[in-house]
Amino acid sequence: MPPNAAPARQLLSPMSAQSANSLRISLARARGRARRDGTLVRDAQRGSADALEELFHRHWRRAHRAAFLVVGDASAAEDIAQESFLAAIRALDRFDRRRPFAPWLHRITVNRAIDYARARALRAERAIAPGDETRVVEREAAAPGSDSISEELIAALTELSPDHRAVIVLRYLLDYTPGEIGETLGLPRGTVNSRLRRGLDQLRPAVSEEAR
Amino acid sequence: MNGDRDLRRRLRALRAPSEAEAEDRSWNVVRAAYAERTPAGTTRRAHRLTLAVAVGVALIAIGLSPAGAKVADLVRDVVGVGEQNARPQLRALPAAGELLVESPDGPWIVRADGSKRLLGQYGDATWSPHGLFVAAADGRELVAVDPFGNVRWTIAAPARVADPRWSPSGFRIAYRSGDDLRVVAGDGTGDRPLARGVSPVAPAWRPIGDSKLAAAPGAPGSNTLTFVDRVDGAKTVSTIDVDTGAALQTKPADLEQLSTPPTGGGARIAISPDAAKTATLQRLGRRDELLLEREAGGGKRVLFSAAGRLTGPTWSPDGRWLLVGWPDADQWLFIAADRPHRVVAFDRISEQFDPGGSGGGRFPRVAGWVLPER
Repeated sequence: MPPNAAPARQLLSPMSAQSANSLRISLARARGRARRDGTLVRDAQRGSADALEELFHRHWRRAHRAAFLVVGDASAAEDIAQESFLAAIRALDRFDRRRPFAPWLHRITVNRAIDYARARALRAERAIAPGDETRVVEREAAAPGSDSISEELIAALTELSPDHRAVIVLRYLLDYTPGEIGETLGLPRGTVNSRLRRGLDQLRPAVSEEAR
Repeated sequence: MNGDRDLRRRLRALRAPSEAEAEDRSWNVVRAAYAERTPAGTTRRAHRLTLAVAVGVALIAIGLSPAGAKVADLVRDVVGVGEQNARPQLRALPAAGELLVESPDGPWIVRADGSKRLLGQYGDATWSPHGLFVAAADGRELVAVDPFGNVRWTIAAPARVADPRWSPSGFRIAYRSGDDLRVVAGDGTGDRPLARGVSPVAPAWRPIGDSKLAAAPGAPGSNTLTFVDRVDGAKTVSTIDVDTGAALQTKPADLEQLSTPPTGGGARIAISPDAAKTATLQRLGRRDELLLEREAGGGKRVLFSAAGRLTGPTWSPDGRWLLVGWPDADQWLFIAADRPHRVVAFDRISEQFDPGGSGGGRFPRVAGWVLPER
Protein backbone atom coordinates (compact mmCIF):
# COMPACT_ATOMS: atom_id res chain seq x y z
CA MET A 1 0.00 0.00 0.00
CA PRO A 2 1.46 3.41 -0.81
CA PRO A 3 2.56 5.38 2.24
CA ASN A 4 0.06 8.13 1.61
CA ALA A 5 -2.92 5.79 1.34
CA ALA A 6 -4.42 6.70 4.72
CA PRO A 7 -4.49 10.45 4.17
CA ALA A 8 -6.03 9.81 0.77
CA ARG A 9 -8.83 7.82 2.40
CA GLN A 10 -9.39 10.64 4.84
CA LEU A 11 -9.66 13.05 1.99
CA LEU A 12 -12.18 10.79 0.35
CA SER A 13 -14.24 10.29 3.50
CA PRO A 14 -17.88 11.26 3.14
CA MET A 15 -18.41 14.97 3.35
CA SER A 16 -21.49 16.35 5.01
CA ALA A 17 -24.03 17.93 2.67
CA GLN A 18 -23.37 21.29 4.27
CA SER A 19 -19.58 21.22 3.92
CA ALA A 20 -19.74 19.83 0.38
CA ASN A 21 -22.16 22.53 -0.50
CA SER A 22 -20.05 25.25 1.12
CA LEU A 23 -17.01 24.05 -0.80
CA ARG A 24 -18.91 24.03 -4.04
CA ILE A 25 -20.27 27.50 -3.39
CA SER A 26 -16.82 28.84 -2.50
CA LEU A 27 -15.39 27.40 -5.69
CA ALA A 28 -18.27 28.77 -7.69
CA ARG A 29 -17.81 32.17 -6.09
CA ALA A 30 -14.08 32.18 -6.72
CA ARG A 31 -14.67 31.37 -10.37
CA GLY A 32 -17.73 33.56 -10.59
CA ARG A 33 -16.08 36.81 -9.60
CA ALA A 34 -14.59 36.98 -13.04
CA ARG A 35 -17.83 36.01 -14.76
CA ARG A 36 -20.77 38.32 -14.73
CA ASP A 37 -24.37 37.17 -14.57
CA GLY A 38 -24.93 38.21 -18.17
CA THR A 39 -22.09 35.97 -19.31
CA LEU A 40 -23.42 33.07 -17.29
CA VAL A 41 -26.91 33.56 -18.68
CA ARG A 42 -25.50 33.63 -22.21
CA ASP A 43 -23.53 30.44 -21.62
CA ALA A 44 -26.53 28.76 -19.99
CA GLN A 45 -28.65 29.74 -22.98
CA ARG A 46 -26.09 27.99 -25.16
CA GLY A 47 -26.35 24.83 -23.11
CA SER A 48 -23.63 25.16 -20.47
CA ALA A 49 -24.75 23.33 -17.35
CA ASP A 50 -21.68 24.68 -15.53
CA ALA A 51 -22.79 28.23 -16.16
CA LEU A 52 -26.25 27.43 -14.89
CA GLU A 53 -24.81 25.82 -11.78
CA GLU A 54 -22.74 28.88 -11.05
CA LEU A 55 -25.72 31.14 -11.58
CA PHE A 56 -27.87 28.94 -9.34
CA HIS A 57 -25.42 28.82 -6.44
CA ARG A 58 -24.71 32.52 -6.76
CA HIS A 59 -28.35 33.47 -6.33
CA TRP A 60 -30.18 30.65 -4.63
CA ARG A 61 -29.44 31.47 -0.99
CA ARG A 62 -30.57 35.06 -1.19
CA ALA A 63 -33.73 34.05 -3.01
CA HIS A 64 -34.38 31.31 -0.47
CA ARG A 65 -33.79 33.61 2.51
CA ALA A 66 -35.99 36.30 1.02
CA ALA A 67 -38.79 33.76 0.55
CA PHE A 68 -38.22 32.39 4.05
CA LEU A 69 -38.48 35.81 5.65
CA VAL A 70 -41.71 36.57 3.79
CA VAL A 71 -43.47 33.22 4.37
CA GLY A 72 -41.84 32.16 7.67
CA ASP A 73 -41.79 28.54 6.57
CA ALA A 74 -38.58 26.85 5.42
CA SER A 75 -40.25 24.17 3.26
CA ALA A 76 -42.46 26.68 1.52
CA ALA A 77 -39.47 28.95 1.00
CA GLU A 78 -37.58 26.08 -0.61
CA ASP A 79 -40.48 25.41 -2.97
CA ILE A 80 -40.80 29.08 -3.83
CA ALA A 81 -37.10 29.55 -4.53
CA GLN A 82 -37.03 26.34 -6.54
CA GLU A 83 -40.08 27.32 -8.56
CA SER A 84 -38.53 30.70 -9.24
CA PHE A 85 -35.46 29.06 -10.70
CA LEU A 86 -37.60 26.66 -12.72
CA ALA A 87 -39.46 29.69 -14.07
CA ALA A 88 -36.08 31.19 -14.91
CA ILE A 89 -35.10 28.03 -16.81
CA ARG A 90 -38.33 28.06 -18.75
CA ALA A 91 -37.81 31.70 -19.72
CA LEU A 92 -34.06 31.41 -20.20
CA ASP A 93 -34.12 31.60 -23.97
CA ARG A 94 -36.25 34.72 -23.93
CA PHE A 95 -34.21 36.46 -21.26
CA ASP A 96 -32.65 39.76 -22.33
CA ARG A 97 -29.02 39.51 -21.21
CA ARG A 98 -28.64 43.29 -21.08
CA ARG A 99 -30.95 43.30 -18.08
CA PRO A 100 -29.70 42.24 -14.65
CA PHE A 101 -30.62 38.71 -13.63
CA ALA A 102 -30.99 39.14 -9.86
CA PRO A 103 -33.84 41.71 -9.82
CA TRP A 104 -35.76 39.56 -12.27
CA LEU A 105 -35.33 36.47 -10.09
CA HIS A 106 -36.14 38.40 -6.91
CA ARG A 107 -39.29 39.81 -8.47
CA ILE A 108 -40.57 36.30 -9.17
CA THR A 109 -39.48 34.99 -5.78
CA VAL A 110 -40.90 37.75 -3.64
CA ASN A 111 -44.19 37.96 -5.49
CA ARG A 112 -44.65 34.21 -5.19
CA ALA A 113 -43.80 34.40 -1.52
CA ILE A 114 -46.40 37.12 -0.99
CA ASP A 115 -49.03 35.02 -2.79
CA TYR A 116 -48.17 32.06 -0.63
CA ALA A 117 -48.24 34.03 2.60
CA ARG A 118 -51.58 35.61 1.71
CA ALA A 119 -53.07 32.22 0.96
CA ARG A 120 -51.81 30.96 4.31
CA ALA A 121 -53.35 33.92 6.07
CA LEU A 122 -56.69 33.18 4.41
CA ARG A 123 -56.37 29.58 5.46
CA ALA A 124 -55.72 30.54 9.06
CA GLU A 125 -58.96 32.53 9.10
CA ARG A 126 -60.86 29.44 8.05
CA ALA A 127 -58.89 27.04 10.17
CA ILE A 128 -60.87 24.35 11.90
CA ALA A 129 -58.77 24.53 15.00
CA PRO A 130 -57.86 28.23 15.15
CA GLY A 131 -54.29 28.91 16.06
CA ASP A 132 -52.95 25.44 15.39
CA GLU A 133 -51.44 26.14 12.03
CA THR A 134 -50.10 29.62 12.76
CA ARG A 135 -48.19 28.09 15.64
CA VAL A 136 -46.63 25.62 13.22
CA VAL A 137 -45.01 28.51 11.37
CA GLU A 138 -43.68 30.00 14.58
CA ARG A 139 -42.31 26.70 15.80
CA GLU A 140 -40.66 26.00 12.50
CA ALA A 141 -39.03 29.40 12.43
CA ALA A 142 -37.57 28.76 15.85
CA ALA A 143 -36.68 25.13 15.23
CA PRO A 144 -33.60 23.73 16.91
CA GLY A 145 -30.71 23.44 14.50
CA SER A 146 -31.35 26.78 12.89
CA ASP A 147 -28.63 28.15 15.13
CA SER A 148 -28.31 31.56 13.57
CA ILE A 149 -31.98 32.28 13.63
CA SER A 150 -33.00 35.31 15.56
CA GLU A 151 -36.23 34.27 17.20
CA GLU A 152 -37.21 37.76 18.27
CA LEU A 153 -36.68 39.21 14.86
CA ILE A 154 -38.53 36.37 13.12
CA ALA A 155 -41.39 36.71 15.59
CA ALA A 156 -41.55 40.45 14.97
CA LEU A 157 -41.51 39.90 11.21
CA THR A 158 -44.34 37.38 11.53
CA GLU A 159 -46.46 40.12 13.10
CA LEU A 160 -46.21 42.16 9.90
CA SER A 161 -48.45 41.52 6.91
CA PRO A 162 -46.85 39.63 3.98
CA ASP A 163 -46.81 42.85 1.94
CA HIS A 164 -44.93 44.71 4.66
CA ARG A 165 -42.52 41.82 5.14
CA ALA A 166 -41.80 41.79 1.41
CA VAL A 167 -40.94 45.49 1.38
CA ILE A 168 -38.63 45.08 4.40
CA VAL A 169 -36.91 42.08 2.83
CA LEU A 170 -36.41 43.80 -0.51
CA ARG A 171 -34.98 46.89 1.18
CA TYR A 172 -32.84 45.47 3.96
CA LEU A 173 -31.90 41.98 2.77
CA LEU A 174 -31.72 42.49 -0.97
CA ASP A 175 -30.74 46.19 -0.94
CA TYR A 176 -33.20 47.59 -3.41
CA THR A 177 -34.13 51.27 -3.41
CA PRO A 178 -37.74 52.26 -2.69
CA GLY A 179 -38.16 53.06 -6.39
CA GLU A 180 -36.94 49.62 -7.41
CA ILE A 181 -39.16 47.98 -4.79
CA GLY A 182 -42.14 49.87 -6.17
CA GLU A 183 -41.32 48.55 -9.62
CA THR A 184 -40.88 44.99 -8.36
CA LEU A 185 -44.14 44.90 -6.44
CA GLY A 186 -46.15 47.21 -8.67
CA LEU A 187 -46.60 49.80 -5.93
CA PRO A 188 -46.30 53.60 -5.86
CA ARG A 189 -43.11 54.80 -4.24
CA GLY A 190 -45.06 56.54 -1.48
CA THR A 191 -46.69 53.27 -0.52
CA VAL A 192 -43.30 51.58 -0.38
CA ASN A 193 -41.96 54.32 1.89
CA SER A 194 -44.93 54.19 4.23
CA ARG A 195 -44.68 50.41 4.46
CA LEU A 196 -40.99 50.67 5.18
CA ARG A 197 -41.63 53.19 7.94
CA ARG A 198 -44.38 51.15 9.49
CA GLY A 199 -42.35 47.96 9.23
CA LEU A 200 -39.33 49.55 10.79
CA ASP A 201 -41.41 50.93 13.64
CA GLN A 202 -42.77 47.49 14.41
CA LEU A 203 -39.40 45.78 14.14
CA ARG A 204 -37.46 48.35 16.09
CA PRO A 205 -38.05 46.82 19.54
CA ALA A 206 -36.82 43.43 18.34
CA VAL A 207 -33.79 44.90 16.60
CA SER A 208 -32.77 47.07 19.52
CA GLU A 209 -33.35 44.20 21.95
CA GLU A 210 -30.89 42.11 19.98
CA ALA A 211 -28.43 44.92 19.55
CA ARG A 212 -28.20 45.25 23.32
CA MET B 1 -29.78 55.66 10.86
CA ASN B 2 -28.77 53.04 13.43
CA GLY B 3 -32.10 51.19 13.23
CA ASP B 4 -31.64 50.73 9.48
CA ARG B 5 -28.09 49.50 9.88
CA ASP B 6 -28.97 47.11 12.68
CA LEU B 7 -31.90 45.67 10.80
CA ARG B 8 -29.81 45.19 7.67
CA ARG B 9 -27.10 43.47 9.69
CA ARG B 10 -29.60 41.23 11.50
CA LEU B 11 -31.42 40.20 8.37
CA ARG B 12 -28.21 39.33 6.59
CA ALA B 13 -27.08 37.23 9.53
CA LEU B 14 -30.25 35.12 9.39
CA ARG B 15 -30.09 31.60 8.06
CA ALA B 16 -33.12 29.59 7.02
CA PRO B 17 -33.30 26.11 8.61
CA SER B 18 -31.49 23.39 6.63
CA GLU B 19 -30.44 25.85 4.00
CA ALA B 20 -27.63 23.76 2.51
CA GLU B 21 -29.78 20.65 2.16
CA ALA B 22 -32.56 22.69 0.61
CA GLU B 23 -30.08 24.14 -1.88
CA ASP B 24 -28.90 20.66 -2.84
CA ARG B 25 -32.44 19.40 -3.34
CA SER B 26 -33.41 22.38 -5.43
CA TRP B 27 -30.30 22.19 -7.55
CA ASN B 28 -31.12 18.59 -8.44
CA VAL B 29 -34.57 19.61 -9.65
CA VAL B 30 -33.32 22.69 -11.50
CA ARG B 31 -30.51 20.73 -13.13
CA ALA B 32 -32.99 18.10 -14.34
CA ALA B 33 -35.30 20.77 -15.71
CA TYR B 34 -32.37 22.38 -17.50
CA ALA B 35 -31.26 19.06 -18.95
CA GLU B 36 -34.68 18.58 -20.49
CA ARG B 37 -34.97 21.98 -22.13
CA THR B 38 -34.21 22.49 -25.79
CA PRO B 39 -31.58 25.21 -26.18
CA ALA B 40 -32.53 28.28 -28.20
CA GLY B 41 -31.36 28.45 -31.75
CA THR B 42 -31.86 24.78 -32.40
CA THR B 43 -32.87 24.58 -36.02
CA ARG B 44 -35.57 22.41 -37.44
CA ARG B 45 -32.89 20.49 -39.24
CA ALA B 46 -31.09 19.88 -35.97
CA HIS B 47 -34.37 18.72 -34.48
CA ARG B 48 -34.77 16.24 -37.28
CA LEU B 49 -31.20 15.04 -36.85
CA THR B 50 -31.69 14.63 -33.10
CA LEU B 51 -34.92 12.78 -33.71
CA ALA B 52 -33.25 10.46 -36.20
CA VAL B 53 -30.43 9.75 -33.75
CA ALA B 54 -32.91 9.22 -30.90
CA VAL B 55 -34.94 6.81 -33.01
CA GLY B 56 -31.78 4.95 -33.95
CA VAL B 57 -30.70 4.74 -30.33
CA ALA B 58 -34.17 3.64 -29.32
CA LEU B 59 -34.18 0.92 -31.96
CA ILE B 60 -30.84 -0.37 -30.74
CA ALA B 61 -32.01 -0.09 -27.13
CA ILE B 62 -35.16 -2.02 -27.91
CA GLY B 63 -33.10 -4.83 -29.30
CA LEU B 64 -30.60 -4.87 -26.45
CA SER B 65 -32.18 -3.72 -23.21
CA PRO B 66 -34.48 -5.78 -20.99
CA ALA B 67 -37.10 -3.04 -21.20
CA GLY B 68 -36.76 -3.05 -24.96
CA ALA B 69 -37.06 -6.78 -25.02
CA LYS B 70 -40.35 -6.42 -23.22
CA VAL B 71 -41.58 -3.97 -25.79
CA ALA B 72 -40.58 -6.40 -28.48
CA ASP B 73 -42.55 -9.09 -26.61
CA LEU B 74 -45.47 -6.78 -26.44
CA VAL B 75 -45.34 -6.10 -30.15
CA ARG B 76 -45.21 -9.80 -30.88
CA ASP B 77 -47.89 -10.68 -28.39
CA VAL B 78 -50.34 -8.05 -29.22
CA VAL B 79 -49.89 -6.19 -32.43
CA GLY B 80 -47.39 -7.92 -34.65
CA VAL B 81 -43.71 -7.41 -35.28
CA GLY B 82 -41.80 -4.17 -35.74
CA GLU B 83 -44.42 -1.70 -34.74
CA GLN B 84 -43.23 0.08 -31.62
CA ASN B 85 -40.27 1.97 -30.23
CA ALA B 86 -40.02 2.98 -26.63
CA ARG B 87 -38.93 6.61 -26.65
CA PRO B 88 -36.17 7.31 -24.18
CA GLN B 89 -37.60 10.64 -23.05
CA LEU B 90 -41.16 11.68 -22.43
CA ARG B 91 -42.18 13.72 -25.45
CA ALA B 92 -45.45 15.05 -26.79
CA LEU B 93 -48.49 13.19 -25.51
CA PRO B 94 -50.55 11.52 -28.23
CA ALA B 95 -53.67 13.49 -27.26
CA ALA B 96 -54.42 16.97 -26.01
CA GLY B 97 -54.54 17.62 -22.28
CA GLU B 98 -52.29 17.55 -19.25
CA LEU B 99 -51.36 14.70 -16.94
CA LEU B 100 -51.19 14.86 -13.18
CA VAL B 101 -48.54 12.45 -11.96
CA GLU B 102 -47.67 11.52 -8.39
CA SER B 103 -44.00 10.86 -7.70
CA PRO B 104 -41.91 10.46 -4.55
CA ASP B 105 -41.01 14.17 -4.83
CA GLY B 106 -44.61 15.30 -5.18
CA PRO B 107 -47.12 15.83 -7.97
CA TRP B 108 -45.99 16.82 -11.46
CA ILE B 109 -47.97 18.25 -14.29
CA VAL B 110 -47.04 16.96 -17.73
CA ARG B 111 -48.12 19.22 -20.53
CA ALA B 112 -49.16 18.06 -23.99
CA ASP B 113 -45.68 18.83 -25.34
CA GLY B 114 -44.12 16.54 -22.73
CA SER B 115 -42.68 19.32 -20.56
CA LYS B 116 -43.08 18.76 -16.82
CA ARG B 117 -43.48 20.86 -13.71
CA LEU B 118 -43.13 19.77 -10.10
CA LEU B 119 -45.89 21.43 -8.10
CA GLY B 120 -44.29 21.09 -4.68
CA GLN B 121 -43.86 18.62 -1.90
CA TYR B 122 -47.44 17.45 -1.69
CA GLY B 123 -49.03 14.04 -1.69
CA ASP B 124 -52.25 12.48 -2.98
CA ALA B 125 -52.96 14.99 -5.74
CA THR B 126 -56.25 15.26 -7.63
CA TRP B 127 -57.21 17.41 -10.64
CA SER B 128 -60.18 19.71 -10.57
CA PRO B 129 -62.44 18.51 -13.41
CA HIS B 130 -61.50 21.38 -15.72
CA GLY B 131 -57.80 21.24 -14.94
CA LEU B 132 -57.73 24.67 -13.36
CA PHE B 133 -56.48 23.50 -9.98
CA VAL B 134 -54.91 20.60 -8.18
CA ALA B 135 -55.89 19.66 -4.64
CA ALA B 136 -53.27 17.80 -2.62
CA ALA B 137 -52.38 16.74 0.89
CA ASP B 138 -49.67 18.50 2.85
CA GLY B 139 -49.54 16.91 6.28
CA ARG B 140 -52.59 18.25 8.13
CA GLU B 141 -53.43 20.65 5.34
CA LEU B 142 -55.50 20.35 2.21
CA VAL B 143 -53.95 22.60 -0.41
CA ALA B 144 -55.28 23.86 -3.73
CA VAL B 145 -52.66 25.04 -6.18
CA ASP B 146 -52.92 26.23 -9.73
CA PRO B 147 -51.01 24.36 -12.46
CA PHE B 148 -48.09 26.77 -12.04
CA GLY B 149 -47.64 25.76 -8.42
CA ASN B 150 -49.15 28.91 -6.90
CA VAL B 151 -51.11 28.15 -3.76
CA ARG B 152 -54.71 29.32 -4.10
CA TRP B 153 -55.97 28.25 -0.73
CA THR B 154 -55.22 25.90 2.09
CA ILE B 155 -57.29 24.62 4.96
CA ALA B 156 -56.11 23.00 8.14
CA ALA B 157 -57.73 19.67 8.98
CA PRO B 158 -57.97 18.08 12.42
CA ALA B 159 -55.66 15.23 11.42
CA ARG B 160 -53.43 14.15 8.56
CA VAL B 161 -55.04 14.64 5.16
CA ALA B 162 -55.23 11.79 2.65
CA ASP B 163 -56.97 10.85 -0.59
CA PRO B 164 -58.54 14.14 -1.66
CA ARG B 165 -60.88 13.64 -4.60
CA TRP B 166 -62.35 16.53 -6.57
CA SER B 167 -65.96 15.93 -7.60
CA PRO B 168 -66.82 15.78 -11.32
CA SER B 169 -69.04 18.83 -10.81
CA GLY B 170 -66.03 20.78 -9.54
CA PHE B 171 -67.92 22.10 -6.55
CA ARG B 172 -66.76 19.68 -3.86
CA ILE B 173 -63.61 17.99 -2.66
CA ALA B 174 -63.90 14.94 -0.43
CA TYR B 175 -60.91 13.87 1.62
CA ARG B 176 -59.95 11.78 4.59
CA SER B 177 -58.55 13.37 7.72
CA GLY B 178 -57.40 10.71 10.14
CA ASP B 179 -60.43 8.43 10.51
CA ASP B 180 -62.87 11.08 9.35
CA LEU B 181 -64.27 11.68 5.90
CA ARG B 182 -64.71 15.39 5.21
CA VAL B 183 -65.90 17.59 2.36
CA VAL B 184 -65.05 21.15 1.41
CA ALA B 185 -66.25 23.41 -1.38
CA GLY B 186 -63.98 23.85 -4.38
CA ASP B 187 -63.04 27.35 -3.23
CA GLY B 188 -61.84 26.08 0.14
CA THR B 189 -64.88 27.19 2.12
CA GLY B 190 -67.42 25.23 4.14
CA ASP B 191 -65.15 22.45 5.32
CA ARG B 192 -67.17 19.93 7.34
CA PRO B 193 -67.18 16.29 8.41
CA LEU B 194 -69.26 13.79 6.43
CA ALA B 195 -68.61 10.60 8.36
CA ARG B 196 -66.49 9.45 11.25
CA GLY B 197 -64.51 6.25 11.61
CA VAL B 198 -64.16 5.45 7.90
CA SER B 199 -61.75 2.91 6.46
CA PRO B 200 -58.47 4.09 4.93
CA VAL B 201 -59.81 3.86 1.39
CA ALA B 202 -60.04 6.76 -1.05
CA PRO B 203 -63.64 7.91 -1.48
CA ALA B 204 -65.02 7.87 -5.02
CA TRP B 205 -67.36 10.33 -6.71
CA ARG B 206 -70.08 9.01 -8.95
CA PRO B 207 -69.08 9.97 -12.52
CA ILE B 208 -71.26 12.39 -14.42
CA GLY B 209 -72.93 11.03 -17.50
CA ASP B 210 -72.84 7.34 -16.69
CA SER B 211 -76.26 6.06 -17.60
CA LYS B 212 -75.77 2.98 -15.44
CA LEU B 213 -75.82 5.32 -12.48
CA ALA B 214 -78.31 7.96 -13.54
CA ALA B 215 -81.11 8.11 -10.98
CA ALA B 216 -82.37 10.94 -8.82
CA PRO B 217 -81.14 11.86 -6.28
CA GLY B 218 -77.55 11.20 -7.20
CA ALA B 219 -78.32 11.91 -10.83
CA PRO B 220 -75.62 13.24 -13.13
CA GLY B 221 -74.51 16.66 -11.95
CA SER B 222 -75.11 15.98 -8.31
CA ASN B 223 -72.36 15.32 -5.81
CA THR B 224 -72.68 11.67 -4.93
CA LEU B 225 -69.93 10.00 -3.00
CA THR B 226 -69.16 6.37 -2.22
CA PHE B 227 -66.86 5.46 0.64
CA VAL B 228 -65.96 2.55 2.86
CA ASP B 229 -67.46 2.97 6.28
CA ARG B 230 -66.92 0.96 9.43
CA VAL B 231 -70.06 -0.05 11.21
CA ASP B 232 -69.56 -2.03 14.44
CA GLY B 233 -66.07 -2.88 13.27
CA ALA B 234 -67.24 -4.28 9.92
CA LYS B 235 -66.50 -2.62 6.62
CA THR B 236 -69.57 -1.31 4.86
CA VAL B 237 -69.85 0.62 1.63
CA SER B 238 -72.02 3.73 1.83
CA THR B 239 -73.16 6.14 -0.83
CA ILE B 240 -74.53 9.56 -0.02
CA ASP B 241 -75.54 12.79 -1.68
CA VAL B 242 -73.09 15.08 0.08
CA ASP B 243 -75.25 18.18 -0.36
CA THR B 244 -78.42 16.78 1.15
CA GLY B 245 -76.87 14.08 3.30
CA ALA B 246 -79.34 11.59 1.86
CA ALA B 247 -78.18 7.97 1.94
CA LEU B 248 -78.39 6.40 -1.52
CA GLN B 249 -78.29 2.87 -2.75
CA THR B 250 -74.78 1.75 -3.66
CA LYS B 251 -74.70 0.34 -7.16
CA PRO B 252 -72.19 -2.14 -8.55
CA ALA B 253 -70.68 0.62 -10.70
CA ASP B 254 -70.16 2.70 -7.55
CA LEU B 255 -68.15 -0.15 -6.10
CA GLU B 256 -66.03 -0.30 -9.24
CA GLN B 257 -64.94 3.27 -8.65
CA LEU B 258 -63.40 2.49 -5.27
CA SER B 259 -59.68 1.86 -5.25
CA THR B 260 -59.99 -0.97 -2.73
CA PRO B 261 -63.57 -2.01 -2.18
CA PRO B 262 -64.20 -4.54 0.62
CA THR B 263 -65.07 -7.07 -2.06
CA GLY B 264 -61.55 -6.91 -3.52
CA GLY B 265 -60.24 -5.65 -6.86
CA GLY B 266 -60.77 -1.96 -7.52
CA ALA B 267 -58.76 0.88 -9.05
CA ARG B 268 -58.41 -1.08 -12.24
CA ILE B 269 -61.39 0.36 -14.02
CA ALA B 270 -61.69 3.63 -15.90
CA ILE B 271 -64.80 4.98 -17.57
CA SER B 272 -64.21 7.09 -20.68
CA PRO B 273 -65.08 10.80 -20.48
CA ASP B 274 -68.21 10.26 -22.59
CA ALA B 275 -69.10 7.25 -20.41
CA ALA B 276 -69.46 5.13 -23.55
CA LYS B 277 -66.48 2.86 -22.85
CA THR B 278 -65.01 1.15 -19.84
CA ALA B 279 -61.38 0.07 -19.64
CA THR B 280 -60.46 -2.64 -17.16
CA LEU B 281 -57.20 -4.20 -16.11
CA GLN B 282 -57.54 -7.88 -15.41
CA ARG B 283 -55.03 -10.27 -13.91
CA LEU B 284 -54.54 -13.50 -15.81
CA GLY B 285 -51.87 -15.71 -14.30
CA ARG B 286 -48.67 -13.70 -14.44
CA ARG B 287 -49.99 -11.32 -17.06
CA ASP B 288 -52.21 -8.30 -16.99
CA GLU B 289 -54.76 -7.69 -19.70
CA LEU B 290 -56.30 -4.39 -20.67
CA LEU B 291 -59.92 -4.94 -21.67
CA LEU B 292 -62.27 -2.55 -23.38
CA GLU B 293 -66.03 -2.73 -23.09
CA ARG B 294 -68.44 -0.50 -24.95
CA GLU B 295 -71.71 0.52 -23.42
CA ALA B 296 -73.40 -0.16 -26.74
CA GLY B 297 -72.57 -3.84 -26.30
CA GLY B 298 -70.30 -6.26 -28.08
CA GLY B 299 -68.64 -7.73 -25.01
CA LYS B 300 -65.16 -7.17 -23.71
CA ARG B 301 -62.21 -7.00 -26.08
CA VAL B 302 -58.57 -7.45 -25.12
CA LEU B 303 -56.64 -4.36 -26.14
CA PHE B 304 -53.33 -5.29 -24.70
CA SER B 305 -51.58 -7.99 -22.71
CA ALA B 306 -48.27 -7.82 -20.91
CA ALA B 307 -46.11 -9.88 -18.60
CA GLY B 308 -46.18 -8.48 -15.07
CA ARG B 309 -48.35 -5.79 -13.62
CA LEU B 310 -49.93 -2.87 -15.38
CA THR B 311 -51.15 0.25 -13.58
CA GLY B 312 -53.94 2.67 -14.36
CA PRO B 313 -55.71 2.78 -16.77
CA THR B 314 -56.32 6.48 -17.50
CA TRP B 315 -58.37 7.86 -20.38
CA SER B 316 -57.29 10.80 -22.50
CA PRO B 317 -59.77 13.70 -22.38
CA ASP B 318 -60.93 12.94 -25.93
CA GLY B 319 -61.58 9.31 -25.00
CA ARG B 320 -59.37 7.98 -27.79
CA TRP B 321 -56.26 6.94 -25.87
CA LEU B 322 -55.58 4.91 -22.76
CA LEU B 323 -52.51 5.39 -20.64
CA VAL B 324 -51.27 2.39 -18.66
CA GLY B 325 -48.11 2.12 -16.61
CA TRP B 326 -45.84 -0.89 -16.87
CA PRO B 327 -43.61 -0.77 -13.78
CA ASP B 328 -41.63 -3.91 -14.66
CA ALA B 329 -40.52 -2.30 -17.91
CA ASP B 330 -40.40 1.18 -16.34
CA GLN B 331 -42.58 2.40 -19.18
CA TRP B 332 -45.76 4.25 -19.93
CA LEU B 333 -47.84 2.97 -22.81
CA PHE B 334 -50.38 5.08 -24.64
CA ILE B 335 -52.75 2.76 -26.43
CA ALA B 336 -55.27 3.91 -29.03
CA ALA B 337 -58.63 2.52 -27.86
CA ASP B 338 -60.01 2.12 -31.36
CA ARG B 339 -56.76 1.02 -32.99
CA PRO B 340 -54.86 -0.97 -30.36
CA HIS B 341 -52.01 -1.66 -32.77
CA ARG B 342 -51.08 1.98 -32.18
CA VAL B 343 -48.97 2.01 -29.01
CA VAL B 344 -46.75 4.92 -28.05
CA ALA B 345 -44.25 3.83 -25.40
CA PHE B 346 -42.01 5.97 -23.22
CA ASP B 347 -39.08 4.52 -21.35
CA ARG B 348 -37.27 5.35 -18.04
CA ILE B 349 -40.37 6.75 -16.45
CA SER B 350 -39.25 6.42 -12.80
CA GLU B 351 -36.05 8.34 -13.46
CA GLN B 352 -37.85 11.10 -15.31
CA PHE B 353 -40.07 11.79 -12.32
CA ASP B 354 -37.32 11.48 -9.74
CA PRO B 355 -34.63 13.84 -11.01
CA GLY B 356 -32.82 13.99 -7.67
CA GLY B 357 -32.77 10.22 -7.41
CA SER B 358 -34.22 10.41 -3.91
CA GLY B 359 -37.37 8.42 -4.54
CA GLY B 360 -35.70 5.02 -4.74
CA GLY B 361 -36.91 4.51 -8.29
CA ARG B 362 -40.56 4.24 -7.30
CA PHE B 363 -42.85 4.10 -10.30
CA PRO B 364 -45.00 7.23 -10.53
CA ARG B 365 -48.79 7.05 -10.44
CA VAL B 366 -50.96 8.85 -12.99
CA ALA B 367 -53.60 10.72 -11.03
CA GLY B 368 -55.52 12.12 -13.98
CA TRP B 369 -55.53 13.43 -17.54
CA VAL B 370 -57.61 16.50 -18.23
CA LEU B 371 -58.03 19.10 -20.93
CA PRO B 372 -57.52 22.37 -19.06
CA GLU B 373 -60.10 25.07 -19.72
CA ARG B 374 -57.70 27.98 -19.44
